[in-house]
Amino acid sequence: MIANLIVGGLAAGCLYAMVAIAIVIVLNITDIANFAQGEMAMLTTFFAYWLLDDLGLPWWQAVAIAAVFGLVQGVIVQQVIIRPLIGSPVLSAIIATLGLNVVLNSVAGLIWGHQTYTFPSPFAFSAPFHVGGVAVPVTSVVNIAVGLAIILGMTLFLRATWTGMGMRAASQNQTVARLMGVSITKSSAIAWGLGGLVGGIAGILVAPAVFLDTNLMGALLIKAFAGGVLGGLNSLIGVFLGCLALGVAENLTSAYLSPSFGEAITFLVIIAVLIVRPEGVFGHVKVRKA
Amino acid sequence: MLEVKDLSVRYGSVEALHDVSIKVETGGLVAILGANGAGKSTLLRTISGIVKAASGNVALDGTAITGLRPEEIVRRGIAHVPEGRGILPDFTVRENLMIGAYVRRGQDVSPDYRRVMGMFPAIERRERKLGYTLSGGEQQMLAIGRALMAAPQVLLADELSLGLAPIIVRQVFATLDQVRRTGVTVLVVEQNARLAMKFADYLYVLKYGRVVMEGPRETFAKSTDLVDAYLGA
Ligand SMILES: Nc1ncnc2c1ncn2[C@@H]1O[C@H](COP(=O)(O)OP(=O)(O)OP(=O)(O)O)[C@@H](O)[C@H]1O
Ligand SMILES: [Mg+2]
Repeated sequence: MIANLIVGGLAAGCLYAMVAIAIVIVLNITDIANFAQGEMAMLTTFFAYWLLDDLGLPWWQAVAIAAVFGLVQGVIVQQVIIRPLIGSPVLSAIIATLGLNVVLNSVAGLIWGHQTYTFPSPFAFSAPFHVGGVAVPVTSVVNIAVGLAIILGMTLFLRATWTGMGMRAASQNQTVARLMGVSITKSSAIAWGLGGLVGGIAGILVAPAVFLDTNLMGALLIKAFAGGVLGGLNSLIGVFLGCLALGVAENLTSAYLSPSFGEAITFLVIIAVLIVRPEGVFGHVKVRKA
Repeated sequence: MLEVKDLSVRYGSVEALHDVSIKVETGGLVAILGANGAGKSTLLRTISGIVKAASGNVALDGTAITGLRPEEIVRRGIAHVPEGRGILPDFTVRENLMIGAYVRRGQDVSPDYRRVMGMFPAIERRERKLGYTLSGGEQQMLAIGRALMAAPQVLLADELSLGLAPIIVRQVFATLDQVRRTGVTVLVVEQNARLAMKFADYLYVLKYGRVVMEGPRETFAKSTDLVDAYLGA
């Protein structure tokens, strides 16, 4: 019983983590909080739905194409909306993402209306895995595997490739990064692309569990934020672990205390962390000037 | 040879540089002296492409580089040690050095890494420490080492002596002298005239964004009062 709850919590936590990573990668590299991340992911998910339902593509193909769509969408948003704002205060860019959020929601509403759709999953009826006597649903395994792959891939990319190193340099000091030969617009475009990609994957994975509508990402965003704050927004691994912890805590409190408390824990976590340790459990206070 | 011709730079309505012309012969060590706000950093930043010129030219070996982006300028062989060192606080010493070789990605830079580390035993011992934990002197060495990782033809250095103890300053400048002897052309900016006169073979004095005095080291050594007067204001 408790093992099931923990696995379920980890699987949910991995979904939160994907959304959180999508936001944090953009936030860390460009200092911009992307308020449109949820709606960007929603649009990618609807795009996948369109490929599946209207074009009748097989699931894997639709998901692969939608992932590319998510990536390209992120780059386009950066090029069209964020890039012209380089040099103006970060706040303008943040407000622009708020505007984009509204626009994307309306556009999706115009195209797909405000009803709900059932998003298929090839794993929905698969027989569960048995791990040491615990029956683990295949969807949970998929969520956890994808979550691990994303955090590993992202960490490797940022630490072991030149492009990733350049992006990390840009996140610390743009002028110095430029003096080293790093292109700030390229770094920013890659960060947005990765955000669009990872957020879109989260949308596609969560859609079968809830219904697909234009408010697909709302709940997930709040949890991603709570998990991210818990772990510390300036560390990707911290964000990942924070989201896992939140997912597990939610599941355990819903089962042992009360389901409504499981929801409330998200807000308790946000408030408690912001009061006690604003930099998060694994985060550290950013040292801007050495 | 690095040549700056009639360079003017403005920040809004403030004219930071006015018709500045300087020349740095290949293999030379040239110093720009000037008081606070004279425009020294602006000159280096404009050469690097961080700041755009209002008019005038910068040329490297006869090829104009004016208006190119900083990425392109460093790729062409001009590395810049910025004012305040610009060490990346969350990078380790190793990462701080490696990022200097960003423009050479794809090449094997490990021999350069070992060579640079060999030049600075103080930072070699701290290879895994984060940038912000280093002392000012160590940061300055690291900043120079990082610039050298680009295998530059020209090294720009902005107020290396700022905030460092005199003994450390002498070490830093001795290193610079060593760098120059490996064939790298060096352009330094300094407020400390005595120090600059010891190492540079040609000097300029900037005041309110204009070149007010220039000459070889010997001329400067004979007119220290005049130099002091320019720097005092
Ligand atoms: N980003 C900027 N925006 C507006 N004005 C600037 C900017 N940077 C420098 N200035 C102004 O341009 C002039 C030259 O500044 P600069 O930093 O080049 O001088 P400096 O000789 O390097 O001085 P210091 O010795 O204090 O470093 C100063 O009047 C300064 O106030
Ligand atoms: Mg200066």
